[in-house]
Parts: sequence; structure tokens; C-alpha cells
Amino acid sequence: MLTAAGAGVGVVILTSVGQTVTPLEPLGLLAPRQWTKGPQGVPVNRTAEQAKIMAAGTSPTWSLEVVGPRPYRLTLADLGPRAVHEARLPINCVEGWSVGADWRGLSLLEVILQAGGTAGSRIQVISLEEDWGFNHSFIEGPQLSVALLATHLNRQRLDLDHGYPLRLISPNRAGVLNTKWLGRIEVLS
Amino acid sequence: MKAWRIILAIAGIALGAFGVFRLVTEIPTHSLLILLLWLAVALVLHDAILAPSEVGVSWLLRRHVPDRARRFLQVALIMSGLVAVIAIPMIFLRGSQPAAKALLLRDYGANLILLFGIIAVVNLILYAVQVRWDRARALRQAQGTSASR
Repeated sequence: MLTAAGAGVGVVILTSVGQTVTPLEPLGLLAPRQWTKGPQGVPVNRTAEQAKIMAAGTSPTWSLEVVGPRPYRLTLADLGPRAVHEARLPINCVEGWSVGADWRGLSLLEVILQAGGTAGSRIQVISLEEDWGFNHSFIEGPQLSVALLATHLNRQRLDLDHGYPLRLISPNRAGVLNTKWLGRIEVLS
Repeated sequence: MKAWRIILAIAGIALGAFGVFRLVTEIPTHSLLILLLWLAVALVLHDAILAPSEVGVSWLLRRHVPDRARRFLQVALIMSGLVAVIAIPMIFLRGSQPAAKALLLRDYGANLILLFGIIAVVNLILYAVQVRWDRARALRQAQGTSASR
């Protein structure tokens, strides 16, 4: 009886572990998610349509407002030359899956330093998205030093569903705290 | 030993009470009612449907299938049941999510049938191995008895 239950659970594990252990994805006969089918090889939890940012996210007049002792704005044209930092980081979704990916973008710390912040600052990043509890997040300390404001995912310009034009990505944060569709960054201290 | 048990029991009851206290004070009444309903339905589902059908199936197997084969059949049925419980909700929800979520895209019905097939074949092979092994042992024993005679 226990052997049978154990074997059954084994089959379930083997056929669903692929949504976290990426090389095993082809085995995932019963896995709810297939990471390879997501845009740019990464699944999305909250889509642009759900977040209702289709218009704001694709606007050619988009700009990032950086608020601090020396406030300034970054336009779409400003992003390209500064998006030279690369990192391999996972999206760890609180809904029970994770997928690693290659990211490229601006160094958040550099953006903060230009606004008069420091590596010890506490930062709030705010999405274009309205009316949602997780439309902003806070970042400081070691996470701030390595965080990217990503423009590229797996060598392609960020998909709108992944947070185009600009999103936060930093290690050891739940996926939901890697805020997407950024519109404003505040140096709080 | 007995004192430890009493201490552990008191600690367990206290933790349980703390959990109930948190539930009642933190969760809206509406959600609590849904939780109670969910627990009640789970109980009814188990006691009125799952457990009786399990007893019925095992009674049928006991009547009609020889002991040795029944062990393998039971293992196959338990494994298939577990896999089916996971797969069936996904069969119904397939394609219900936005494409970007890469969620519930597979043909879970076909996959479930494939898994049933794999489980059946593996258990058949194990059963065949068991039968051959039993025969070989019976033969050895027969030869052993004739040699000693």
C-alpha cells in the first residue's frame, strides 16, 4: 500500500518537476506550466492586459521619473546606451515556479547615484500599473547594489508582458517584487 | 515518559488553540464559512464516495483476482488514481489562461492515458518477473526434493 502510494507520488513528482527543474521540462506530462512556451522563454504571471498598461506601456513618450536630491528623467532613447549591464537571474514566482534567464539593462545603483542617492539608500520603484497592491516595491542593501533595470530578456528587447519598457530584476526577491512597467523611482533615504 | 507526553499534549493543544484564535480574529467570517464548507465537502467526498468505492473495488478484486496478481493490480490502480486526481482538473481547465502565462497548455487527457499505459506496462512486466521467479523457485525445490530422495 505504502509502496504503491510512494510510486504514485513518484510519478506525479517526475511529471511535474519540470516546471522548476528546467532540463526536465519535456517529462512534465502533468506540469501546469511550460516555461519554454512563455514569451522569450519565460512564463508571465501578470500579463500586460491584466495590469491594464497596454497603452501606457507602449507610449512613445514614456519616460522614467527618478525622484531624489537631484531629480531627472530618462526617456526611451536614454535607455539604450546605458543598458550595458548583464546578469543571469531567475524569476521566482510565489505561485510555485522559477525560471532562470539572461537579463541586460541599466544598473539601478548608477541611476540612484545620479539622482543623489547612495548605496545605502532605501529605494521605492513604482509601476505604471494602477489599482494593484504590488504595483510598487522597495529595495535596499545588497539587492540594490546588484539590481538591474532590465531592458532585455534572453537577448531580446523586453516583451510587453515581461514589463516593457523597463522592469526591476534583482536576486533573492519573489517574482512579484521585481516590479514591471516602471514609471517612477524614488530615493527615500 | 508520561510527563513528557502530558507536556507535549498541552503544547500541541495550546498551538492548536492559538491557530483557531488567529483564524477567528484574522480571517473575515465570509472566508471562514467558505473554509468550513470546503472542509465539509472534502469530508463528504472522502467518506461518501472515495472510501466506499475503494472498499467496493478491493472487495471485487479479492473475489475475482488471485492473490499474486492482485498485489500488482492494486499497485497499478493506486498509482493510476493518484495521477488521475492531479490530471483531471487540468483537463477541464486547459486553455483557460492567457497565452503569456504558458499555463495549462498540454494535452493532459492524452498524457493521462499515456501515463496509465506506462503504469500498466511496468506493473505487467513486474508481474511477469514475479511469475517466472516463483516458477524457478518451485522447480528448484522440486529438484531439491527429488535429489535428496
